[in-house]
Amino acid sequence: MTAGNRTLWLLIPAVLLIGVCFLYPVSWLLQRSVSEPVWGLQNYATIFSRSIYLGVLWNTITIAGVTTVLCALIGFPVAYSMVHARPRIRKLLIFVVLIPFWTSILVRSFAWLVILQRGGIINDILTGIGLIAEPMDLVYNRFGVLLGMVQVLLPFMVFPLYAVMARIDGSFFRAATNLGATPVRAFFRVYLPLCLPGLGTGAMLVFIVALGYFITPALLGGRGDIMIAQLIFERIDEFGDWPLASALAIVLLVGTGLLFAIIKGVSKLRRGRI
Amino acid sequence: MTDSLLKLTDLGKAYGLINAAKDINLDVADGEFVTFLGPSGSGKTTTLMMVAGFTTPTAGGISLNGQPLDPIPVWKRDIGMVFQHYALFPHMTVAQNIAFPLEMRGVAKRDRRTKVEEAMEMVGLAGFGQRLPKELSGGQQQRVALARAMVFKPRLLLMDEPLGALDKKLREHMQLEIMHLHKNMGTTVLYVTHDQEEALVMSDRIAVFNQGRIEQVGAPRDLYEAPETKFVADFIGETNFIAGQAAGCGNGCASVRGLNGQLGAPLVDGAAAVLAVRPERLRVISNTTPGAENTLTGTVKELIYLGQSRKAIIALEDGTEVAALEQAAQAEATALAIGSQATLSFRARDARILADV
Repeated sequence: MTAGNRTLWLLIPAVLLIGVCFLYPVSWLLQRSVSEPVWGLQNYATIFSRSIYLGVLWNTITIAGVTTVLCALIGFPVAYSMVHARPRIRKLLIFVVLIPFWTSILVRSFAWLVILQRGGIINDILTGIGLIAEPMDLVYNRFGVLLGMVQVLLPFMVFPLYAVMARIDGSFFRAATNLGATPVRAFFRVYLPLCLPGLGTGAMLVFIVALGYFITPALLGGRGDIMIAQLIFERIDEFGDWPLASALAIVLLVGTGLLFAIIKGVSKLRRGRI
Repeated sequence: MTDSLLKLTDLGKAYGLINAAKDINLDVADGEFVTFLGPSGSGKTTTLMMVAGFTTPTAGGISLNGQPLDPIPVWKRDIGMVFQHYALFPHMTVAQNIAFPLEMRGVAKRDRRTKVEEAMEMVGLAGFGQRLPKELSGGQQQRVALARAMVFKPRLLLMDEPLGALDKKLREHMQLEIMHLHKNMGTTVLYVTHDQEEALVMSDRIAVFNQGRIEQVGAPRDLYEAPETKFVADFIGETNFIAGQAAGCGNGCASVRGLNGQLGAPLVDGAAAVLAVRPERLRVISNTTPGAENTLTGTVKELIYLGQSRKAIIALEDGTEVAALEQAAQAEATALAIGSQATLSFRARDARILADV
């Protein structure tokens, strides 16, 4: 008991940081969202009744969702190769996956613009060799947003998966095939289920970070790809509409929290039975 | 052996210039319990993995029931296997683990359940179906692995050091259980171990592996009493070696330093050879015993009390130390003291003359 009390002071910096930089501003936002222009839920009612706001919420969820799925589909084979490659190749792969982490998000997004725009490298080459007559729209649309976000968020998927896969003994797969499973069935019945903890952690990280994404959709997306963070910025920057922006922020926070709780609950259920 | 179930012919596996296994020839009869015994890196596990199909041979072939196995992939070989660390699927319950091979074979759900229950009963784990592998003790996990490997009635059961992770008491208990299962089910078993005692206890026949090759195949008694190479004599049980040159005396017998023994394998006169004799075959005799053959004289270095027996370490004149093991009753009759002279004798038919390599 005394030992526990004596080490509690170690938590003070963390408590101060969360209190000052997170709890205080969030409660301030919460208060403004329900108190202006008058006390009540009118700001929330606005968000959930106007189609533009609902559209943005839907955009946010689908873009984050599709990004998560794409990261999983691309990240799985990458993580698998990293686990099974020779040490030198593994180091190289880790380096390649990490590069986007070390470059500024602005630089990266602008780089995509240079590559993808109508007068960009890809369109120049494709029209130059006569494969297409007209330049394609590769950016300022959903494709551009997803491409940029998947590139940035891939490491969040790859590393949790890698950590889990590296600990899966090869004898599980061998045992499955020995017991009569074809490699495909062994993968889906044994290998994939054993990867689920890593896949779940990675998916949660990617999805939650993607929900609040701002710069990439702003630079690479079109009018139809506005996400909730852009909307918040726009409400404050252009209209000074703090109450509605606050309500949007609270919706994002509560939505993320709910998702987190649901995933936690589901994984607890899974652990309990079967 | 016309009714052999498994036939390994000139089987080999080379990694570059290194031969992990070479010139493996072995016939295993239906229902036989054959053990691959050898130190680590001797090729026993490599050979087992080739039979299972996880490793592709680079030479020779394997046939099961007269049918070549090489073109058949692992999942169609119908060979059960117990892995070194069991490899129970951690996300499945005991019942799901045991049902897995049945599920893969498309056995109907109702049949599956009865077969799983039978298998759990067979290994003494009835009622454990809903547990997860991590909730079981090492011995129980071992049983689940056995049940899973046998539930689909494979023609051949492979076991890769299955008892290595268990403590001595439990290991001895599981040895007997596996033997009983083998007897009751009549399954042919290939068993890999580096533990010579385990091999002697369990096997119908043992194949001793050394440096990628089989040194000798035989019943436990043959290997112990009539080893053909120095390695086999040394690896199985305890042996005294007396080195010298072989001198022929014809008719399957030879001598080293004037001591006679049985020839293990043909030897040229004058070749470097050892005489191998087990400690329990050495008798301590008094100097006055007349007509004793094959006598060794030396100084008693150590006397070790082992309860039911006594071990005497005796240094011969050239420094070679030999051990003599006597039963307690006999040890009491022959009074020995450290530092005193002792004379040992053995019968020529209890000693083997083997090439010294």
